[in-house]
Amino acid sequence: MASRYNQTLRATWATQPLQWPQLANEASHNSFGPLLYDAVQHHPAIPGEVQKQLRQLYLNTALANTLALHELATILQALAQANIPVIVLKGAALAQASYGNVALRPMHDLDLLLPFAHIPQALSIVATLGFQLLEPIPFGDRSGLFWNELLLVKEGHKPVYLEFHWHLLDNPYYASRPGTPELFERSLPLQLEGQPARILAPDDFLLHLCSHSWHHHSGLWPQAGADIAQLLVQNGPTFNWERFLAHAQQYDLAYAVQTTLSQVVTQWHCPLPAGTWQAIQALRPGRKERFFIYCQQNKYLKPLRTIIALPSLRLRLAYLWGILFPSADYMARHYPSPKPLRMAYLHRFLCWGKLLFGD
Amino acid sequence: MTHPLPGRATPPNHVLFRELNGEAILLDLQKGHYYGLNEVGCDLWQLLTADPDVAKACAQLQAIYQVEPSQLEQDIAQLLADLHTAGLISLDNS
Repeated sequence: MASRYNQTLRATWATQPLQWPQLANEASHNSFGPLLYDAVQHHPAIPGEVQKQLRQLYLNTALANTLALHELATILQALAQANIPVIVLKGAALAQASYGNVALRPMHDLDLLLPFAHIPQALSIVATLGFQLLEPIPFGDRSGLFWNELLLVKEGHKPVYLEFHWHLLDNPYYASRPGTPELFERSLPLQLEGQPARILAPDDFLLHLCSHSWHHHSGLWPQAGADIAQLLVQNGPTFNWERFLAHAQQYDLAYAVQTTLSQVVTQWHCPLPAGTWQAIQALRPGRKERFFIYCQQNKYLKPLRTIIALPSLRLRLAYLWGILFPSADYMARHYPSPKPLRMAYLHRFLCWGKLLFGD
Repeated sequence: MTHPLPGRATPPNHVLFRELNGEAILLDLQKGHYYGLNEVGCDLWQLLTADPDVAKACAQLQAIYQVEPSQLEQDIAQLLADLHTAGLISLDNS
């Protein structure tokens, strides 16, 4: 990946003089500081100050990730002892297995995918390791369908954040697109920090990165671009494009895939096998995905995506009720200033109104 | 100041080691401090993790780097003393 970054840099150097401080700041802002350091640390023209700045980012990433991966090993071991199946997602899976150097890929949390049925037991287990829920789930028993993740933290010299996911995407329409059981079936084994672990099959991994980037960040966010490029370069000719494209179409993720991959190919100079680009372009977003695209571009419609995605009127009303009137526990965490519960609800509505309609 | 070469040096459980393309970092989980190791330090740490016998580790490093034995011993003794002061390694002079 560093050499790919270097290629991009060389192409830039050929046409314009390099502004090292700006480059370092830009890379740092987009979480590429360590990657840039790896690529240019021995470059004869790199100013000492810039090299020092980038090296510090590199070391900080190495330290934070070393600590987080140490916690991950403990978590994986404890969950394995309880026979809880787990897939390691995103940064934790990429830093070591894909980038090959944990200092190169900053990660903010440890993301784990596990079946919803195992969540209560997994929460008890990680609680014994020092991880506490950051906020309760607003939907209680229906969270399996309405929600897709829980955020936990372990406080210490440096806090370590952990996320339990039971679906890959937060929209209930995608709860079974792809479903967690089939992801586990296709997942691959590997050793992470000396512990047996599983990661998504490369085509599922790419589908996740593309769809997460589009649905969660409304487009390609820079680190996802680097991750996708890394995944493509790493898997090269062995990548199962046929299955990937079939799933992108089948799961209504055609547009997410087209949008993100077109940017990755352009920005990261990622070569695709002959005919693949045409096959990507030939994907056709389905009716539901077109609706989500429309909602994504309209701030008033954005909150409706989830409601519309639910399969029955009863579930839509239940979701709406859960959103409008979350549990007292949830409200206490989100609106901590002392006020009666009904005032907290009113405050919540006003905040929403401000968010949607401005001042 | 010269330090004697200890008999055994044992990496403690509360110190994490991470190799990074030829260099390494040590992270003290108890204090939150970290320490950087160069290539030789990185090799020394890995040798001591496998076998805490410092003389054996010196002999193996001598074979890899082919430096003056007395110089190598002095550098290693200094490094181990620094790591010990920082609480990153346990030394046994027996």
